[in-house]
Amino acid sequence: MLSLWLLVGALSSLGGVLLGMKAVVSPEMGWESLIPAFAAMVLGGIGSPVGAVLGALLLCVAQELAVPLMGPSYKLVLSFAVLALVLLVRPAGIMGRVQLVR
Amino acid sequence: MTTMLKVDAVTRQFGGFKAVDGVSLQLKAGEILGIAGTNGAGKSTLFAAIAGQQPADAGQIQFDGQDITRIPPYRRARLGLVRTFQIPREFKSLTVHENLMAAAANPQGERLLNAFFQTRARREHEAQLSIKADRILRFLNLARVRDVKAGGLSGGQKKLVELGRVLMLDPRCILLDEPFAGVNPVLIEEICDRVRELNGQGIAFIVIEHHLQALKSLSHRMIVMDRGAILAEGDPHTVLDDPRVQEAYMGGVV
Amino acid sequence: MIAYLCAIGIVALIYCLLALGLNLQFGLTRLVNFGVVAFFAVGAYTSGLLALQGVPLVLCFVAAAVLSGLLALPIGLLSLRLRDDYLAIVTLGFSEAVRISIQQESWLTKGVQGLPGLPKLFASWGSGVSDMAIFATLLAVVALVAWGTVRLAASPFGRLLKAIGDDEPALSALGKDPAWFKVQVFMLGAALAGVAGAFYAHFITFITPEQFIPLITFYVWMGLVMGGSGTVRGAVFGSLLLMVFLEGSRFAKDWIPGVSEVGMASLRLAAVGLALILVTLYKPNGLFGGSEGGAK
Repeated sequence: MLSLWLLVGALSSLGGVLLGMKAVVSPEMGWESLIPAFAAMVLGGIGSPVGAVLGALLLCVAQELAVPLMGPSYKLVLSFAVLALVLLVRPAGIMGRVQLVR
Repeated sequence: MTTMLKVDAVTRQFGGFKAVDGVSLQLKAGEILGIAGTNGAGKSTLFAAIAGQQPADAGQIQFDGQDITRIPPYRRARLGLVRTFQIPREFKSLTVHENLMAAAANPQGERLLNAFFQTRARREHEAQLSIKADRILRFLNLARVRDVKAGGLSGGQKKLVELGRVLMLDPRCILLDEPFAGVNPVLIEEICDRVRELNGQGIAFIVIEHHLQALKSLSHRMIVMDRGAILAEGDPHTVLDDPRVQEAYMGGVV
Repeated sequence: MIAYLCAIGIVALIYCLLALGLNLQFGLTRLVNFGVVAFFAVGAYTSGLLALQGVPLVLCFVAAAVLSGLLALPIGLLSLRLRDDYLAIVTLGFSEAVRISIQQESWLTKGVQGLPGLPKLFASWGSGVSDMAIFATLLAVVALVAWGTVRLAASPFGRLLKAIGDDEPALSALGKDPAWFKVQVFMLGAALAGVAGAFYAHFITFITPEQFIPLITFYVWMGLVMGGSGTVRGAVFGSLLLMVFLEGSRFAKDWIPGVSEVGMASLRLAAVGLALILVTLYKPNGLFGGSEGGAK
């Protein structure tokens, strides 16, 4: 169990490093990634690592494509909308196993 | 006697593993059916499929001639088919009496507005339900702990509270999942007496148990399950002598 | 001094109202609502915008309650499909979505600039007296709501909420569908948060989207958890404790060397997190609750 949290921490910090290379490093940057990360995981399918990668790619592309339509500030709202929609319509996501959300 | 519950080739599987494999059984009105079996034989999963906590992946379930295979658990309970759980699921923060009151069908009284504006009729209805709850508590010998929070009871008492709750619904068929597990022998006898009394009033039972002595004395008919399927079926006193049953229990004392 | 005590009293009572709403949702029914501030914001903005149009304040308050309650309907329906932890994230995302929407739709809400010059309650009575009048009104409202929640908890409806909170599948197995009750509780708690928002708007008189961040939700949670969720007494005393913490930390800044105003805000957040962890581990029934239960 402990090693699980250690692994998660390590992976998250790797993500933070990569993000920091591209964007601004600030104390709040983790918070802004929270909902999109969750949405990406759920979209890809809970329990599936390939799904997580797929979900993240799809979500980010969708976010960027939506910018000309909604403006940059609505990115997080889009993530939330995707999250809510997936959980409602197809909780297993794209590649997930049995729905684990109920 | 009419058939009250008909389970037809019901299967419940997780991935490739079949917890319940094409099980068929029938329960006649007023009957007590015992289900025995080794651990992991699929007994509780079968109950979950019948009562609706888990969906049947194949097969059909009929109650009183009505197909209930796809309807949610709360609707099955309203039809008169109720169950208790292997590990008691009492409402911990409610008292024993409140546990029973929460179970009672009371759609008008449970309205939000009713918390503040109660008509006389509603008040009387609530009082009637309270009397019924107290009667059931006396029947189950729980009157002493009427106002104790259910979370603080012993395991055996919690099982009785579960039974009390389902009795508030005036059920026609009760599925009892290991009612004697962790219960002292004297209380086991008491519970058996209560079940026989309720059966005398017309309620049918299916009982899962490992206490084979008690189960044999209680059941009219018995089924033994092993690895998701029915191994043997018949008279309680002879079915356990079946060589296949003996083999399944691996020579253990039956 | 009186003015200062009055002001923090008002804020404490506003948090009380929020905590009482959350107590219905989480304390009784165990619905993890991390989006409290969304309904607070909608209440504040609804009341503020209507008041700026000249609508009488009483109607503004009613509208705030109604709109916040209605906003909870989709969230309530969503909650039927979601387990605890997923509901937490979804409600959190919802509150951020609401805040960002308020920020972006500046044609309606004036966006980042906010709404200045909102009519203050009892403004015509003069500045010192109006604050005391607001305090008194809020006190009456909180007392009424507290009485209401106690009455609700003791009713058959409340019994059902507690049963849902204890063991929802067991309740289903007894022939009752928890769905509509959960939605109702969400809406009721949200309406209370909306009223709290309206009081806030017409006391502060200047609202901006930046004031309605998730930190407010976590303050309410901290108050409720520390006080003891599930009881009205817990919600009320927890909120008072919360105020002591919030105001106290304002003074603590002067003693702790090298901490700026912004730094203090972050330290407060850290302290909230720490307090929640400690209370959940060692005193799960809250500081004012009983002593049953422990770390699982």
